Amino acid sequence: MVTEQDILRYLEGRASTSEADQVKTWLEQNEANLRQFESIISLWSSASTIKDYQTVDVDGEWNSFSKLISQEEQNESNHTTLSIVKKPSRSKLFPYSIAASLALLIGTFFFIKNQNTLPSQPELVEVSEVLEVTTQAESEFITLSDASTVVLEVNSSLEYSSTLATDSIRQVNLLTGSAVFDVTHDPEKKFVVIYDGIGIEVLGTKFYIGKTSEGVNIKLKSGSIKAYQLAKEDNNIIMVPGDDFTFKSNKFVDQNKSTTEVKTIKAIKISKPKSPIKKAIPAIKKEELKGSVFRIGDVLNFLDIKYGKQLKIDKKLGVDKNDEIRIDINQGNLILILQDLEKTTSLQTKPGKCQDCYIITAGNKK
Amino acid sequence: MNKPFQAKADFEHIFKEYFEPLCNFINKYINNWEDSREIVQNTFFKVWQNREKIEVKTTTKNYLFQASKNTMIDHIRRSKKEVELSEGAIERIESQAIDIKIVDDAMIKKAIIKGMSHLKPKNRKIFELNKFEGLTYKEIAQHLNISERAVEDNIARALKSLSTYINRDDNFYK
Repeated sequence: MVTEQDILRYLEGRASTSEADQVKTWLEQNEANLRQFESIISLWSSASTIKDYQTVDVDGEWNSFSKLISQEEQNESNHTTLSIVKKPSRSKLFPYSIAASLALLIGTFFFIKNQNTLPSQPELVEVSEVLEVTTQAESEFITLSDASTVVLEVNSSLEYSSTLATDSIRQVNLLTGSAVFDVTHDPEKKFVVIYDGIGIEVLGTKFYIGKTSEGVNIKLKSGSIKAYQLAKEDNNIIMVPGDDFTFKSNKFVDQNKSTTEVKTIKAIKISKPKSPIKKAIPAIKKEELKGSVFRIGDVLNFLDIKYGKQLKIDKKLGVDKNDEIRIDINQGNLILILQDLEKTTSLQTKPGKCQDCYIITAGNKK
Repeated sequence: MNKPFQAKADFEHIFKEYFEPLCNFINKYINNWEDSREIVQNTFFKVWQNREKIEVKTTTKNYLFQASKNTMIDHIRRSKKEVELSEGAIERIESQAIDIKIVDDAMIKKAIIKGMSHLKPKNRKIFELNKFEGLTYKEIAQHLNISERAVEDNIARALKSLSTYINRDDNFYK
């Protein structure tokens, strides 16, 4: 008969030959003996390193946790600022401007993370909460307060302000993982996604952002996007639908190996030459029109993002923004782009108040 | 559908059963006890916030260990602890499935600590001297003025009692 002492000696290598043989024979007798032996091995193995195991005052931990969740429930019912379970010293604080006028000037965010460290803020209309969403085994569909939606993929997390819809800049911080954004169009308020050292600025669009082994990958489905390096905003790209870029080694690398096919449209709208722009610009012949086909609305969004400082776009343009035009928007020269726009639409361009500034207005109807 | 976190009483029970082994499990990766506690607290907080939605497809134990590991990865990335773990190491941890032996080891140790209170006093004392103080059988025999054989018998009986206790403890198998 095999005893616990025999098994222990066998495990510790102190069994004699006959004792070891007895144990082996006992093991081979049936499954129950084998299971018992495996159970003792696990126990003996864990017991051997038990001194590394640290104990916890579990009741004390539960009491703290219970108070925390009770406080959260009370805060939710009182509509007061919520404390996120993080130490203030580890929380990220983004400059955040609540008042619209301040936001226009500063254009940054401030997330309030801990009620105890709430700084004084001038003209505070509403205290913002930081809302954090984390997925584990399943993706999550999130609707933001401006009706934009986010599909947060598995093992991902993001945070955003509870007052996003009314903020002057709509900002979401993607913290980990990947997500697909479908952003409600709002020409007055940019939507910015911050992720891993880069920023993505959109007016209304659908795009994917996530991390691969190569870097941060961005795919644009519709609309227009400006993606830029946070540390160096000059390092940026303007993306159009179908673009697929990866940010790696401080560069935006085009993942599309071949050039994008140009879609043909039924007719290219080419208007008769309008009144020339006051500044001297070389004429471009009709047959020299290059570029790809885009919606007028997307072209205007793109111009607003890229040339916003030089360009003003009148609100009433008298064009259907869903109309398609052929234009080379990557010429890198605003004047040439505007001239193409005049050629392909009924829009007009006139000088703005500052040097090298322009205004896009409605042209004469055909 | 298995939604084990919905009722607060059940949640409390689960919290008290798994909090300690989860802390030890996370500590094996990051070797920082305070951060490990905080990670596990955050994990339970997130589980509590999402308790209505969470449906456990495997076991509560597996779910919590996986969730804690995910929270740990987030913590490492966000708190810039990459200096201790390189990005490559983080990605390896992230991609590796949890070794069930590590999970079971944490749970067994918790059960041993709990089960020791049920041992006979002499068994417990000798078990502690050997497993916690690191004394050899010879040293224990000299210390207590008994034979090495007697020390071995006490250790074996302690292991048998603990084995019986663990096999009877429902929580270990969940």
